[in-house]
Amino acid sequence: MSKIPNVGPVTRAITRPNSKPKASQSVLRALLRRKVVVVAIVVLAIIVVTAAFAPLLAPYDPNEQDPAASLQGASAAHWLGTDLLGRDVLSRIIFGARISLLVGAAVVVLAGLLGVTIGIISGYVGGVVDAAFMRAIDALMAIPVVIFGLALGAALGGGIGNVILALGIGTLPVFARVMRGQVLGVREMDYIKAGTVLGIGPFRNMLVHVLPNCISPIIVLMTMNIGAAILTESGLSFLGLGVAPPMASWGSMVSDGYRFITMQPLISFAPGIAIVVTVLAFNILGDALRDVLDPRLKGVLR
Amino acid sequence: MILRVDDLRTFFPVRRGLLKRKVGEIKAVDGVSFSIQPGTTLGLVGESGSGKSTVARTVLRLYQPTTGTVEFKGRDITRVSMRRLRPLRRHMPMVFQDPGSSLDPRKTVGALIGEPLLVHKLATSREAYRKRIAELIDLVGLPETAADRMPHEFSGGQRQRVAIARAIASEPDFLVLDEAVSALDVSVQAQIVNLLEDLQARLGIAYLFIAHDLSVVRHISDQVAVMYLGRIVEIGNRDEIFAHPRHPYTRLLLSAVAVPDPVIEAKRERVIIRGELPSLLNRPRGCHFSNRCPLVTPECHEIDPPLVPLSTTHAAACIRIGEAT
Amino acid sequence: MTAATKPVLAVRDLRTYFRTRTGDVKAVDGVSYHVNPGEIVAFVGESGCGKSVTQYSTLQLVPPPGEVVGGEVLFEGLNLLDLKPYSPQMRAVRGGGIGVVFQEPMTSLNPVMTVGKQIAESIRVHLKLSRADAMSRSIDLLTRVGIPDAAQRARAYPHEFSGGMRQRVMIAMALACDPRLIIADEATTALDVTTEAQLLEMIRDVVRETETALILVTHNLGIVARYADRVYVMYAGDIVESGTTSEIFENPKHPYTLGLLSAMPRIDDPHERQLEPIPGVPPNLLDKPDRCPFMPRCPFATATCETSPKPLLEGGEHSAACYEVDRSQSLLRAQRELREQRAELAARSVVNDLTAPGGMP
Repeated sequence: MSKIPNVGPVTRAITRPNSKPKASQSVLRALLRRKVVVVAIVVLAIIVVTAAFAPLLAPYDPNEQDPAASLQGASAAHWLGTDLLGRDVLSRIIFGARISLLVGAAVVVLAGLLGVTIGIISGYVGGVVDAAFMRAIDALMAIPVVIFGLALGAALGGGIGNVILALGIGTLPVFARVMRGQVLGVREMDYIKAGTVLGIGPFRNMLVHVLPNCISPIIVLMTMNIGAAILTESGLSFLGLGVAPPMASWGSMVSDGYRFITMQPLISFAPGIAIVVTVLAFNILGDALRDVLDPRLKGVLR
Repeated sequence: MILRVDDLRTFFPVRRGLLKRKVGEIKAVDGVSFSIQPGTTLGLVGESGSGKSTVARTVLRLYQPTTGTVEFKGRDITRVSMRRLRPLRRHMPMVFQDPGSSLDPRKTVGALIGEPLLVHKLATSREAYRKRIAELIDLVGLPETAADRMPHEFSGGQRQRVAIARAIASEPDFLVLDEAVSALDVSVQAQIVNLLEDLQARLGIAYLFIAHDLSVVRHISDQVAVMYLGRIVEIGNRDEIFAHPRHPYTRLLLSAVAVPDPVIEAKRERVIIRGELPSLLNRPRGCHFSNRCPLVTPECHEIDPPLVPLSTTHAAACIRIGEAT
Repeated sequence: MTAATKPVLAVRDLRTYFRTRTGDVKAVDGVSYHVNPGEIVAFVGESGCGKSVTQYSTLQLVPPPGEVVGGEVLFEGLNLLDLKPYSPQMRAVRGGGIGVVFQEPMTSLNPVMTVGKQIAESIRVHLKLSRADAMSRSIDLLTRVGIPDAAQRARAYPHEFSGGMRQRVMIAMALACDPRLIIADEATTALDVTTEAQLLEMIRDVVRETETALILVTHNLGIVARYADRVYVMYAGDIVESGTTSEIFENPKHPYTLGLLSAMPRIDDPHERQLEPIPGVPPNLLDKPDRCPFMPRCPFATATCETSPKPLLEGGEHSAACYEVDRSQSLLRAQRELREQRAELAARSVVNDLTAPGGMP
């Protein structure tokens, strides 16, 4: 009796063409598609490199005073001039990059870690724990970050550590909420239930399965909040509650140079421009990441 | 007996208002009893609202049973704590309907299949772990290279194979399949059904096979239970149920299924069900099927028909069974 | 059927491609068919074969990046593809000349408008009746599709209906303007089997009564066997076999059709029967080579099949797009043996005879 042969299970690899096993590769490619984004990435790269190799790049020691050369304009010797104490503005900006980037990154990492932890527990466990956490977050959100920073600064004194702490705590609510929202969605997915059925405990399920699937909006959030952190720190330093001299962040430089704006505008403008450029670059990158990660990643990781 | 379920009920409270007061109950499963012998398949069929999926999930404690008992290999697992249940779960895996969402999209196929080995500490070494994964991949008919790939690189049918491999990784005696082939195309469905039958023959796994497609159930089951509105209306040997269905609902169900043969279809007499499925919150008094049954009598609204045994291997819940021969 | 009977719809060499960055996805790759007045024609195939896209292409409802790139769609003498997608004439066809019933009852009705109003809206647009007349006709239609208390129910919102009832409303909407053709795109796939049976019986009765032609798009061969007059079997964007229902099931010519029939489980199968799956998976419609699309999975494929261009439908009442049709006929012997076994079983069972002992009047 002839019949269509029962070939049984498939034994050949049937892969979709153009499949992308490495999500990060395709993300990078998509990001690089827009010129603005490429520029932003280049700018950020330059800033990071500058900060990293500050001692090699800065023509002068940022704290080296030279009273004779005080308040000079741009010259061959001092490309961006000098401040009241004769310190080289360019060198101070270069070293200032370190502070700003450090603060930005530290704040975002702190807020991220705390926020994600709270969010994931809140979302996964639910119930009273969730309610308690969210009410606390609500209370925190009611206080503007700058005010929070001012209050903490006034209470604990200024200094870079307290700035980071204040801004970190002030920024964590948004991370917690976004994470919780993600978790609430992912928690209902079949693969989480499949995990439970397989015998995976809630802890492992949360860490290994829920967390990685919720992380992309957090990445976007982190990128975009670096800019905000740097700005807020600049504001706090301008108000005198940020880093302590002789450490110079861009914000404190703007503050110091404020008085001399008619005589030697570069002292304030130069760091001001640096702030604007950096924050803009981070925001562009964050924006582009969001466009790429949210809808696209769903298609790639289908 | 691998599994024994006795008078299982799963009710979901309906809450309204700020204080979340309970205003009613959805009786998703309303007194279900059956047992499954080792190495056999029980097909649980029903339409929407029948409660078949809820039964499966209650057995696996994804939902908590309201009353009744679930016995697995002789051991009462109805009210065991979640923590104590976890090690038992290696013997009670489940394959879900949608292969797209039942596999973590960010893990490789190898990691997904191997996870039960890690969780239940079944691999004694890295070597053993990798070997077992390769074994399973081969067993379900996937290519060797599958282990390092991601789920989205595979078709629906292949993803179900991954889900099946993951389910049998811990060498269970029992497997729940919740509409596991319903989302697949006909030709692929046949592949997976054959695979499941093959695995059962080789490994002796018992299946609880939930489905709404009677033709697939006909094929793969040894026993069949038909559910309607939370109750089993007929249960028995597969051949008996399909050749001699006794409950009016079962007959209507079979009548509704079209056979791909125009000659047979032209000759078949068709009885069309009437009316609508009642709301789960507000079921008819007496027999749940009474408002749509072609054989309904006034008595049907008064009595809740019990499952009447018609032979050692066949039972149906209808008060009119004994009559008209 | 007299020689003068012209088809309601005649499609010739329809092509719809989805333009993507990586190339064109040939969702519909040269499809020709026709529908005669009052006929029920089925389009059958698995997911991705293009059966739905074909229908939407005829109505110019294919969303971008999809694009109808060629062919002719003759409806009542007019080539629909010549019309601009949103021109008044094209809009008159949609709903007026051709009615559509979609698959998903949950999302195809406007949740914030009463059901009666939604049907009446379509009536007023196409038939220009007054509000009162349109509403009264709307209520009549609801009764016709089997909704009890139609006058009352017309004032209800979609969420107050069950899935089966919502589909009845959709059918009423499709019928509202006396179309010459109704396209039912997997209209009952999302419903329970018993509800599906209720609905299809009703559709068949209504369509016969009004002499409207019906296109049934489905993957369910049982429904095809029960209701369709003629069948088009689709695979990977092509029609691979066409013929009357009895011919297709009695003498399937294309290996894919044969494969489908052998892979389907049936409720009247003898229990020793093994399902015979079609190995492999459907082809990628991107970079579709010009040869038989079924070749990689076909048990009858020869070297010629691999190198020859895509086979076309031979023509005639029952035709298949295949170079090896003769060989596949030898399989029919196997099919017939199977059918004999089934008939025997059926004689002893209740599947086709509900008046047998057991208690049914």
